[in-house]
Formats: sequence, C-alpha cells, structure tokens
Amino acid sequence: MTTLFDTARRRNWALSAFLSKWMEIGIVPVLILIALYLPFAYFAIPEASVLHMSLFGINLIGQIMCFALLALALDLVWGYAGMLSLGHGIFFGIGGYLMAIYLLNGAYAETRVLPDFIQYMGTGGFPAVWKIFSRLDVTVAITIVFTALVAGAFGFVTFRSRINGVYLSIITQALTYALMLLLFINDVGLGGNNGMTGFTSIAGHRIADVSTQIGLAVGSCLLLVIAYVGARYLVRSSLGRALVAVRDDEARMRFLGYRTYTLKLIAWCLSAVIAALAGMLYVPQVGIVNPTIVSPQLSVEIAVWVAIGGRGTLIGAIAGAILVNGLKFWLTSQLPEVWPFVLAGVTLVIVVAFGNGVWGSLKAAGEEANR
Amino acid sequence: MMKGRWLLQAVLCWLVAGTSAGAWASASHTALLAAFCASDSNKSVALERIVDAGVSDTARDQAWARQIVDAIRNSALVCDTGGGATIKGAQPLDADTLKAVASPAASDSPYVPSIVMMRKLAVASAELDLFSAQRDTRVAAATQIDKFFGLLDPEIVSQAIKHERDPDVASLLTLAMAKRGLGSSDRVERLAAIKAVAEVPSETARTTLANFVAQDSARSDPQVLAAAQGAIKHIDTALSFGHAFSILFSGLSYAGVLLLTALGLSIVFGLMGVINLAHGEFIMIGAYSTYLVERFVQAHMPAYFDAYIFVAIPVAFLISAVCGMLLEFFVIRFLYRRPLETLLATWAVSIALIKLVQVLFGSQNVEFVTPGFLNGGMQVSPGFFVTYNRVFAIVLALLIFLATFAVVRLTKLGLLMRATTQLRDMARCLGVAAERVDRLAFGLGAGLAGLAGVVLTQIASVNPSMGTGFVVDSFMVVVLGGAGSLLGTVVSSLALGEINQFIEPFYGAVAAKVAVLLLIVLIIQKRPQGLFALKTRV
Amino acid sequence: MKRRTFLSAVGSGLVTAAGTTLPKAALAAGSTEPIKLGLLFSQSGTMANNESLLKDTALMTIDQVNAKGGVLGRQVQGVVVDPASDWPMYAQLSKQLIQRDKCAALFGCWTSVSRKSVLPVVEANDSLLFYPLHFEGEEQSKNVVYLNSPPSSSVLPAIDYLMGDQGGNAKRFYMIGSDYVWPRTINKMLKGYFKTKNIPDSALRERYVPFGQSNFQTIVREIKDFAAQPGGQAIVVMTVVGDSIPAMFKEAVNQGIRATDIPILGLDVVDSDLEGLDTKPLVGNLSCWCYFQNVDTPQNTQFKNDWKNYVAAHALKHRPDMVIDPMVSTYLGINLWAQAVTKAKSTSTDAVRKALAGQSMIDPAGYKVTMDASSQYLWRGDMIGSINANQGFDILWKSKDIVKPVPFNPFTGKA
Repeated sequence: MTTLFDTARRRNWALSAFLSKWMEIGIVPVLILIALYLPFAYFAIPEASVLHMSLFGINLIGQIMCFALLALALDLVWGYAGMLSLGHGIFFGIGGYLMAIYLLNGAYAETRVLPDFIQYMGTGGFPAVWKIFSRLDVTVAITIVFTALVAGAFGFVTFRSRINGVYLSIITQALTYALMLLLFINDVGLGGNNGMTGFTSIAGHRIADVSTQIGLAVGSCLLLVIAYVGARYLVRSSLGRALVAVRDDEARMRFLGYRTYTLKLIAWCLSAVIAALAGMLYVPQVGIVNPTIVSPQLSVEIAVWVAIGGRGTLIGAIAGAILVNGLKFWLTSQLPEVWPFVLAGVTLVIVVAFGNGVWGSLKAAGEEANR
Repeated sequence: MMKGRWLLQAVLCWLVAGTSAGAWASASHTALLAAFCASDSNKSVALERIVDAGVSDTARDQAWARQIVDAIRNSALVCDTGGGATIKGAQPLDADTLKAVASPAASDSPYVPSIVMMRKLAVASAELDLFSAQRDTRVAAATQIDKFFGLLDPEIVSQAIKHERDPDVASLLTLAMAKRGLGSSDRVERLAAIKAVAEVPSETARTTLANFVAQDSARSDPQVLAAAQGAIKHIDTALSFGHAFSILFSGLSYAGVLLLTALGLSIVFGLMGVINLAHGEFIMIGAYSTYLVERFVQAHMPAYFDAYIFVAIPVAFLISAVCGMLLEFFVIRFLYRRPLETLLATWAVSIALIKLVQVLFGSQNVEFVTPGFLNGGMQVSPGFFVTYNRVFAIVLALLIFLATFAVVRLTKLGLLMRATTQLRDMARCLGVAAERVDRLAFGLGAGLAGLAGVVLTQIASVNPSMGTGFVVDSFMVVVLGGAGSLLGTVVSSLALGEINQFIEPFYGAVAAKVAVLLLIVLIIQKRPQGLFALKTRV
Repeated sequence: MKRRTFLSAVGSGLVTAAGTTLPKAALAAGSTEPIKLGLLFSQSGTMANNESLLKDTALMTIDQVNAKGGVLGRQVQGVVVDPASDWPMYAQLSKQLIQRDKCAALFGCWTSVSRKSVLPVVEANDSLLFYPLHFEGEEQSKNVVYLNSPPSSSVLPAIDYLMGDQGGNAKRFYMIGSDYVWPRTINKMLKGYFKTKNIPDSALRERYVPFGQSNFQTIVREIKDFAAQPGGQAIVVMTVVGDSIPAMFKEAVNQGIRATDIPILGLDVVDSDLEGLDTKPLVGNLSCWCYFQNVDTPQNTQFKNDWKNYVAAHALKHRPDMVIDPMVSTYLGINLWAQAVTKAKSTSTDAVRKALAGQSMIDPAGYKVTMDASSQYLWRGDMIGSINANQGFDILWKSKDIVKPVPFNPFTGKA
C-alpha cells in the first residue's frame, strides 16, 4: 500500500538521485559559467543593478574558490584514503609563503625598497636563496616539488610506522602548531607576526589593477575545475578504488598484496600539491600572508567544511567550503557576534545527525532511490 | 680680673648660643622645608638635613620628620611658590606646623621623586626607623640600610649602633658600615669590607665586588685584588647551584601545569578513545568559575578573601564536571566508535563555548587579585628564588594527582573505569553499565581540567581563548605517556616540562616549545602507543 | 576574446568616469547623506582591552562634532567593525570600509603590525588612515596621518633621563619586547643611539617573546642575572604589548624587582594595563606619552568630564575615571579631520590632505598641537610619567612646548 508519505519519500529520493548524478558532472559547467560571469558582472553590468559584482565581491569569490580547492585536497586524503589530516594548513602555507617570496622579489625589483621586516631585522638585504624565486613559472615548479618532498618526508616516516586514525590527526595538528609558532619568530626571517605584505605586481600585471584581481578570481575558479576533473578521474580509476579499499580495511589490502604504503603516499603528496597551489592563488588575492594561515584552527576548519559538505564525494567538499565560507563572510559583516554559534550549531547537527554531510546524505538518498 | 672677664665672655657666648639655638630650633622646620622646596636646591642634601632633625632628641622633631619623609615618598608634598609646603591628602596639612589647612592651589603639583631620590628616601625612611621602639621596624630598617649601604649616612648609623641593644640589628648595621669600607684606602678596612659583602652570596653582592675589582684602586693592591676575586669565585659557585635549582624548579612548575591539564584527557582518551578538542574550554570554564567565586567572596565575605582559592577548588571541579557530563550526554554518546566525528563535534562545541564566555564576560583578560599568601616569593638559596604562586601550583598538582590516583585505584568507580578501558565488551557482559561509566569518567576528566583552570588563574592570563593554547600540549603529553596510564602522564609531563625549561634559557620559549613538539612526534613514530601503554587485549 | 577586451575597456572607462564624477556630483547636489568614518578597532582578542576604548572615544567625539552641527552641514557617522586582533582581518575590513561602505577616512589600529597590514589597502585606494598611537617611525605615507609621536619625541627623552643623574646613570640595557615590527625597530634605533653614547654591545641584551606571552619566569630571572653583572646601573626597556604587560609586571614584582633596583621603562604601558594590579611595588617605573591624565588644565578637566558622562550615558564597561593618551589622539584626529574638511569644503582625500597641513587645536594637556606642514605628523608635547600607588601615573617631566616630530630617525641606520 503506497501512502502519500511513501510517494513523497520516493519523490525525494528521485530528486536526490537526479541531483547527485547530474551535479557531479554539472558542477564543471557551473563553475566555468561563474568564472565567465565575474568579469562580465563587473564591467558590463552597471553598479546600480543587483547583478553587478563589486571588486570586493569578486575578490571574496576568488578567496572562497581557493578554500574550495583546499577542501578538495583534504577530501582526497580523508574521504578516499581515510586519513584525517588536521594539518593541511601546512601545505596551504608553504604555497602561500613561497608565492609571497616571489611577489616580494617583484616588489623589490620595482620599488627598490626592502620589505619592512628585512629593514627592521637589520639583515641587510634579500637572502640569496630568495633570488631563485624571481619568475612565476620557476616559483610554481619549485613549490610543487618542495611540497611533494615535504609531504613525502612526512608520509615516509608516518605511514611506515602505520600511524593512522586519531594519532595521525593529533600529529598533524601538532606539526601545524609547531610551524605556526616557528613562523611567529622574526629571527626565522619570514616576517614573523607581521607577515609579508606590500605586493605590487604578479607576472608583470599590477596587483592593484582591476583586471588582475578579476583574473586571479577567474583563475581560482578554473584551477578548481581542473583539479576537480582530475580528482574525479583519479577516484574513478583503479587507483581510486584501491584507495577506498585501503580506507575501509588497510590490513586486508596489505594481506592481499597491495602496497598500501605507496598508495597512501601518492594520495597524500597529490593532495599536498593541490593545497599548495590553492595557497599560491590565495595570497595575492588577500594581499598579505602571515602565520595564521598555518594556525591549527584553520586546519580543523578545513575538515569541518569537508564534513559539512560530505566527505568521500568530491562535490561535497567543494559545496561545503563554498557554503560555510560564504555564510561566514556574510554573517561576520552583518552579525559578527552570531557567527561562531551558527557554525558550531551547523557542524554539530550535521556531524551528529547526518551520516555524511549535506551532499553525502543527498547521494545516499539518491542511491537508495535507485535500488 | 682676667679670669672674670673670661668667665663673663663664656657666659655671654653660652647665652647667645642658647637663645639662637632655641630660635633656630623653632624656625628650623620652615628653613628645612624652604631648602627642600627651592627650585634649584640640592634635594638630597635638604633631605639629609630633614633626617638629621628626625634623629635628634626632640620627639616633636622626630614625628615631624617622619611625616615629611613619608609625604615626599608618597608624592604628597606640594611645594608652593612662597617656599612653604602643604601635605596633600584627605585632610590637607600645612607641612610646617602640621595643622589642617585648605587644599593646595590647583596650579601647584606635588613633587614626584625620581628613581635616585626614591633610593635616598628609602634610606632616609629606614634611618628614621632605626630609632623606633619596635624591634621588627628596626630589623626591617637595618635590612634596607644594608641593601643600600652606599647611600647611608655614617654618623646616623654609628649613632644608631651605639644606642642599639638588640644584637641582630646591631650586627646588620655593623655589616652595612663595614661594606662601606670598600671605598676606603686602608687595606684592613677593605679586606674586612670584602669579607662582609661576600658573607651572604647574592647577585647584588657579586655586582658590588665586580664593580670594585674593575676600579684601579683595587687593582693596584694585589692582596685586596686576590681577596676580591676569591670572593667572587665563591659567590659564583653558590649562584650556579642556585641557577640549576631554579631551572629544575621552573621545570617542575611547568610539569605541574602540564600534568593538571593532561590528567583528565588521559582518563577520557584512554577510556573512550575520545579526542576532546573542547578540553581547553573546560580549563577555561574552571578559571572563570574561580573568577566568579572571587567576586562572590569579595562581595559577601571580604574578611576571608584570601581563602577564595580554596573555595574555588570544589566549585570549579563541580561546574566543569557538570559541563563535561552535559557534553557527553548531548553530543558524544551519539558518536560512539566514531572518533573522527567526535573530534569535529567537540571542536564545534569549543568555538561555541569560547564565544559564549566572550559574550558573557567580555573578551579582555580577567584580572585576579592574588591571595595574600601567594604574593611574592622566597630566596631559598643564592640565585634560587621561588615564587609562592608556583609552589602552590606544584603542590596542588601533586595533591590532585594523588587524589585521582586514589579514585582510580581504590574506588568502585575507578575499578569500573579500568575494567571498561581494558576490555569494554567483557565488562558489559559482566553487568557494568558502560554508558554510565563513560559519563562519569567524562565528568571526572572535565572536572580535572577545571581544577587546572583554578591553578592557572594565578600563573597565566585568563581570557576566553586561553584554552586553545593548552590543547595541543596536553594531547602531546597524553600521547607520549600512553593513553589511560596515569603514571605515563606524570612521567611525560615531568620529562617535557624539564626539557622545555632546559632549552628555554638558550633559545627562548617558542623554540623550546617547537623542539619539544618535534621530539614528541619523532618518539611517537617509533612507539605509537606511548611510553607506558596499557596492556589491553583488543 | 576580442569582444571581452573591448567590453572591459569600455566598461573600465565608464567606471572610472563614473567614479571620478559621482562623489563631486553628490556633494554639489547638497546631499544630506551622513559622512561615514571607518572605525577599525578590535573588540575581541588580545588588543580588545585597549582598542575598544579608542572606538568609544571616537564615537563620543563624533557625537560632539555632530552636536556642533556636523561637518559641511552633514552629520558624521562612525562605522564600527571588529578585526578581532587578527592582522589580515584589518586589511580585509579596511577594504570593506573603503570600497563597500565608502568611508571618507579610517581611524584605527593600535599595533604597528595592524597599521602595516592596512597600509597597502589605503595606498591602493587612496584613502586616509588616522593612526593614534606612538610608534617606531620610519614611515611617511601620504595616506596615513600620524597623530602621536615617533621615537625621537618620546622614547629618546625618556632614555636620556634614565641615563642622566636623576634617573640613575643607566649604563646597561635589557630590551624585552613582543616579536613584531614596533619593538624591533625601536630597539634597532636604541642600539644605534647607544653606539653614539659609547655603550658597548656587552652592556645590551635583546629578547623577544610572541604576542600574548604570559610566562615571564625565565625572562625575569635573566633580568636579575643581567643586572648583577658589573658595568653600571641596568634598566629594562619594555616593549611588550597587550596582555604581556601585566604578566611581566606581576612576575617582576613576585621575584622581588623594584624600581629602586632595576627601573623598568614600559614604552606601551597605559593606565588600563595597570588595572587590577597592586601597583605599590611598581611605584617608580616609567612610561612616556604625550599625555597623562593627571595633567592639570581646564581642557583636561572638561575632557575627563565628557568621558565620564559618556560612559555613564551609554552604560559602557570601561572605567569612567580613566583616560589614556591614545584616546586623546583619537579625539584630536577626528577634530582635526573635521577642521580640514570644513576648510577644504570637501571630503576627498586630496583636498583633506592639503587642508590638514598646519591645522592646530588645544589638546587636553594644554599644548597647541599642530599638524606638520608636509610630513602628516602631529606636533605634540612630551611627558614622562612614573607609576604611582593608585594604578596611574604621576608626571615626572613634561616638555615646555610641542616638539618637532622626526619621521626617519638618524640613529636607526647606525646599529
């Protein structure tokens, strides 16, 4: 006997099935459309119209896209390889700081004025090592290699000792905390608490220019698209399936002869590189990099975005990051007092009640409908 | 005939001197004040004159000098343009006659003593106190004079020594006088002075001798030089022992704090495998409970104010324990066997708690009035100074640990907790209500964190986000020591506290912290279960 | 692609044209829209205690300006945001205040690091930041108005005093600061200055602690050791900020240090940092500012009364009887800005900047403060204060007249 309730539920499932199936592909054109819309909304639509996007708004969207990229990176290792890293801020920070060094090189070449922190530390001039970062392509290449090496070193030591679960999470938290403390020390030579600021141009374009700002935001959207497509391809390949199997039961996989250590290491290094690239795009849009980028709180927040969106579904991570950060930017400008309560409430409800975040539940409901 | 005239002249002189002396005595206060208040006066000399009046035989002069010196020390002496002065205060007094007058003119501001004058005033006040009837006052005065022996007035002090009956005070003053011998040219006096200064080794003694050795007059005499250098070496040895003890002591106090913050976590983590990121906030709740108790005691029982810290101990424990049990009931018990979700959920609770406390109490630091018995410290040995608040922290940490140990080892709750930790399902089969044990254990863990907060109010700053600084550290202690093992927690806190304090003097606090964190991460790689892992059959 | 570049060219042309004509058009139309001033002061985090005082002083001054009829016939409105002591947030929110809220000028920042974070934003958007704190100098941006003194006017006189007879002939210096630009630059300048006074390197010690550090056990012990070395009287030059100030004072007092033994010159200590402390053992330690609330002038009595009434009227959590120098600077800044706008008959940055040169008024300390003709620094009087037993300062010395501010200190390069 089919009651009205059953019909409603089945219709709900059907909707969820539709959404989850099509959004996984559909997000790509959606993101591309957003990327195209931004310059259009700024230049072509007049300021008075609701559809106009101010430079401020475009800048915000660019930052949110970087966070979405970061969440995607975490989802790769958490949702698909089962490692909850609470220290992905480290890689985000590596990308951010190396980009900042490149930008400071450019600023110095242009203005012949040393950055503040070099002036007040009295070290005289740029460290020789920094001169390597004088071209954008070289900087990107070095960042990718360096991040992969750092991630590899960590993975080598940790995965070999078969540390996982909560211990891994705590260790990553401790490492990002240690890095933050280290970066606060001015003697380390990376600007200390002041951080690095005063960027003038990137790859020949002035950062203050409207077109550069819009270009960066568009670039972040497009990089997100590329990363998403790549990640989706990866998780649907046999490598991805092996990773999921490692997540579900590592011992059994090891017993079956798979080199789980190698699998985890690959996923980890890839995720780290994506996070570093996100950091590289984030810093020129914010205009400053400082040790709070590697704070333990930010690293936990990344996990919260993925949890709210739904881990193990790449879209969930992106959706979660966009949702939470959008809400955050909106609420902190209107009602700053309320934001922590809202975030805490949403996190609690989703973590406790929903099995797997917003998107994860949608997908599960969708799969239920397809049975 | 000649004799007669001589006699007459002597009598006349005596008369003149007597009357003029009398006139001088009554006009002297005004003159002394004028000398002090004159804009281009040498204030130290004027101060010495006032002290001279204060140690004279006239009781009236003594009382007057005392009042004036105190007024100058408290920046209450207002010199007016006419050369006179007023003493500010609830009832303004004329400085000359000490009679009540109207307030001084608004355009006249009080004399504010410079640092150099403050030292001279301290010595002046002490010199006046040397003639007091109370022994305690005289002892304190003599100690002060000994400290500033370079500034004392030898005539007054020798006069005091002559009148002094108490042997302790007399010897202190003689010592102070002997130290002045450093400046003399007589060899015997200088050797005696070196011996006097080196008698009680201290940093200031070392400075005095080191400054002395640097002078040419000391270098020219080889015997004096050798004596001084020998004395310096002797002081240095005593001081280095003291420094070593200092480092051990601060390591101990740091370890005490780590132990308190990690104890509750160890129990909860060992028992339920729950990572509680809100642990820091329980510490914060304990600290704020102490604040509430302090306000309450201040308002309703001010006579017993110093005891507020003892009242706060059970109150903070209860409040934190209740908060912990509420957290377990509403959030954690739904996330059983999902440690990663527990992590995120407790993180969410922590940010909500921080914001809540911010809204209720404001985000700035909360200032605590330290109970009287926790102020200051004690020079245990040369170079080793302990502050009472840290001694209190160490003692309390020890007591709380012993109490926890007793609960875990000797009570039924402890037995049930241990059973549930070691083999949960078997314990349930045997009828143990594991959920209730979980809740009580979580409450115990949170309560212990609250007690850490009580102790921290005296040695750290208290604000809504104070807990975030302790979370990573306490987790590291627990992970290193082995979850669930109390002994492991003690050993790892001691080790980490001491290592941190050994590194700190060389590289600074932050580098020490980073080094310790990296060290733990490396150790964990080798031995993931910690130093003292509980032997469980999973 | 071609169309997009064409569109963007046209679009940007339109936008810039609109941008330059719009404000003038608004003014010409005699708009009654309030003029917005951005207030960039933290209300949470480590700087909350101090900066929330400045926010409320700014609001009080804005009320006073409005009561006198506003500026150019329009009311002034303060836009309050909370950067939460997070330096990148200052940059973000200043962008928001300028671009989204269209504020005519910004008043804000306490720490130099927050000012340095905002600097690129005001320079890129050609806005004005009025900065009310004394700082390390070495900066002269046409987009910042410096309302308080650089080290030449405040720190050096205090150091000279301590090196003189009355201050105890200080010959050895222990410099302890929070690890960021202000203490680092101040110490760099001091090292250069000491070199000119022939103080050897061995007589100096430099230490830095992170923001918010509250454990000074080892540092205070080191200070005692340092003072025990031969070579003359040692003093402490304290450039820690925020919560670290009461923490360090408490530790020093507990370990037995008094001003008569080792004087502490706390360059960022204000009355609000002494709240809740028992200051009897701290009597004699020094600080230097352009204003202390004990100064006896009719203007000061008026200002203190106004503050007391404001706190009572709005039931604020601040102490009604406590006024500190940065509050006075904020008050002066808003008034001088109002005077400049009135003279320039416009709120545009360029016009205000030109009109500010030479503006003057009588400050609560009785000095006739004057804006420099070219450097955008404010000429102010200078004072040295000594902590008293009532959690306040007694004035030990004050300058006879306003002092010329020197933006780029000659000693900073010599270290």
